[in-house]
Amino acid sequence: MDLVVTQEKYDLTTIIKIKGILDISTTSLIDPHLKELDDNVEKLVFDFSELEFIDSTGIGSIINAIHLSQEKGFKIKFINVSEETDQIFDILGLYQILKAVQGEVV
Amino acid sequence: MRMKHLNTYTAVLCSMGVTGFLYGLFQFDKFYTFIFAISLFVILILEILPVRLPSGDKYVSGSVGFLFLLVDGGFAYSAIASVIASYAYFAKGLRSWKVPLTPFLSTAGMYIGGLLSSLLIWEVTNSFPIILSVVLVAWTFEIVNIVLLEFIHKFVFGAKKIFTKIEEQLKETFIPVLISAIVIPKWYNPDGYIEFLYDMLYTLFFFLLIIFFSQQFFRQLEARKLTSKAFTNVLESRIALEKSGHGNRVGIICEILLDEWRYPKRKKQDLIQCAIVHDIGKSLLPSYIFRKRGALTISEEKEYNTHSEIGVELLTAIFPKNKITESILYHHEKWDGSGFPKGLKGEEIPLEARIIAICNELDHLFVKYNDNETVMELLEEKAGTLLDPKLVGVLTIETITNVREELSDLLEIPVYEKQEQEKNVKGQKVAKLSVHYEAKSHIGESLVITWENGVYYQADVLPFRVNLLDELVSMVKMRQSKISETIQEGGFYWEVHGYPMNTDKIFLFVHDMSSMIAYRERLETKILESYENVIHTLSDGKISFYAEKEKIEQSLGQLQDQMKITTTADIPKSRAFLDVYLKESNLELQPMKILLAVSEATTNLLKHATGGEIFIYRTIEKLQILISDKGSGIPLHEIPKTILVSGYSTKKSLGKGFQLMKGLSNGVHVHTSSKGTCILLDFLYKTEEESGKEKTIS
Repeated sequence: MDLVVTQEKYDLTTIIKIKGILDISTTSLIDPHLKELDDNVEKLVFDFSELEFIDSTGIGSIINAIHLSQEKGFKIKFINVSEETDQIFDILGLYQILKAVQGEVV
Repeated sequence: MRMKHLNTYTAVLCSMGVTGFLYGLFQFDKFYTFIFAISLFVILILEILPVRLPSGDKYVSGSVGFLFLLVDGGFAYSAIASVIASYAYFAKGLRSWKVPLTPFLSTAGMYIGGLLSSLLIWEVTNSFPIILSVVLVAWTFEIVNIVLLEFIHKFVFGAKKIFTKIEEQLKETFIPVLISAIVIPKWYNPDGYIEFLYDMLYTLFFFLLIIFFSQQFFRQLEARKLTSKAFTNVLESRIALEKSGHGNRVGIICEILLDEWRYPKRKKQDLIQCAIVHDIGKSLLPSYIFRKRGALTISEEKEYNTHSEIGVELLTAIFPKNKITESILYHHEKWDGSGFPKGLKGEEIPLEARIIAICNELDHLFVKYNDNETVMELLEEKAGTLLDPKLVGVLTIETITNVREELSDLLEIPVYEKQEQEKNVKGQKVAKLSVHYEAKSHIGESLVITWENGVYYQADVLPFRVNLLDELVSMVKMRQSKISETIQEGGFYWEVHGYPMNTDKIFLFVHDMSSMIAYRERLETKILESYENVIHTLSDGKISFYAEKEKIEQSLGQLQDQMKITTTADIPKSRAFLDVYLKESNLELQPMKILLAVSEATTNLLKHATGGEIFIYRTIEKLQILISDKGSGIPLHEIPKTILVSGYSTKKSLGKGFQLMKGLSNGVHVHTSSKGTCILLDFLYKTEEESGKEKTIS
């Protein structure tokens, strides 16, 4: 599998771990995970420690999650973002979108 | 090429005309003068104002008058009247007192022939009840006239096939025979002069009413029919040359199959009209949607799905009879409910829409497959899913074969060869048309074609099928005014102007406009060139746009490797492919940037086109990745926005593709045209100084 997405739930927090590549060929795999989120989730954490590659299409799916967070009223956090990934997020304005939606980049 | 007016056949007719006339004069008896005069008056009025028939022909009702004179007064009077009437007809048609002798006398001769035959019948039947004998007399007259007229077509106008419309013509004899049957017995054996005058004028009044209404009614009907046909042809030529004529063919298929399904006759014409224009909504969509190879953008898809609704609106304006135009709205519905716009199922879909769906499908099958069995099989396969199984069940292989025969002329797309310079009969040089299929530079030329009574002259020099002019001709003939039309065939483009000379003669001026079209294309090239400057400046020189692909191709170094991209799975594969190359080649480059930039370009390719290829090139100072596709290109007006504006996208995406590529690479080169798009990304090898600098992306 080019992409493996795992989900762990703790109380009101859910951690989604992304392993592998996130591009046009794999982004559709994230959608079911977003649908599965409980309604009472307060925090969604994306763990990018094992992210191998992401491009603008992949980031599009993260942005979907951000939109969902606005709808359902939970916060999003990114953890274990590598330097390269951080640069890409920056260029594509992901942090700006996050700031606009939830007021902070956690 | 002048028609041979005077030949044996016409000579015979002319002599009949003259003889008849002289005989009549000789036999003229003064006591009948009053009746004759009134009759002649009525005849002349009817001769000048014809009744318009559905087949497009005119019924000159003056013949009722001569038949009356025949049965009431005798052959002599009818003969004189018919000759005078012929003269009046020609004089009116040519709007001059000078009338060409041969045609005039031939027509008179035709009438005389008819009258003689009728006289025979009258002699035999005049003891029968008056209405019956009048019917027989009138019918004989009409039939003899039809026959003699067809022979004129053959011997004078050189028609190859005569009696082609015979069935329709015979059906139409019903009208004059009916009129004669009603009117002549009334006039026959009048009780007195006053009564006679009264009867004549009374009937004349009714005649004029009928004539007036028939003119209006059929003019409207014809105009609508022709407008929609012309309209369909225009819009179809915008869609794709291979598809042109589809609307008309579906109309013909519909006409034939409606009989098989025993569809009510009175609604038949309307449904056929709708079949002809069923895709009319497409004319309002930008034409590039149909030429697009690759997925439609979201807005384009929405527009395509609404074309059936737009079509109905348009049609309701042309044909204000709502019920049948609905059939257009639903012609994309499917029997199993998976169609659009409403997802109607089975018999929820109006019968007319189901019919059009079958005719539409059948035409597509005919164009693709030559074998009738295959067509039948494929059609039956679709019964139950796409098409109504009951309607399909009625059709047999014989029906299919029959329909294909009717369509055989229209299904061929012609290939024409070189034409040589020709001299016409007068020795004048006819405009030369050297039309070669591959010709690129073709200086626009003009020629004149004459249409007379159904035959085209100078038709053999024509670069396109002459029957493409038929509709223009009938419109000009009917309206008696100048009308223009454009004709497209095989990559060439003509403008045709029709000028009516009289009701039976039209001049057509044909001008080759292909070079003007080529000019428009050159204009497009100029626009693309202006984009080159704009884009270069606004991107700080980082993005270069090229109107010509060669400029990109020339800058390419040595080809290292290449890979095809057709599915989404190929995107990560292409990155892996690139990664392997980078590792093996040991170049001083940041793989992450390259892979990301390339991922953007290849994703782009899949979203907007159907697939393409990625190539790796090298020069001394840089690595070049070329991503190219054979889609239909970025539309002209979208180019600046797509390339320069961050966040602009025509599909559901971030719209940052180009910005990202620009930021991650050392240069972006773009070319796009209707043949495809290619993007070249430059990556300079790091020098030793630069290795030490920070790796932030600019």
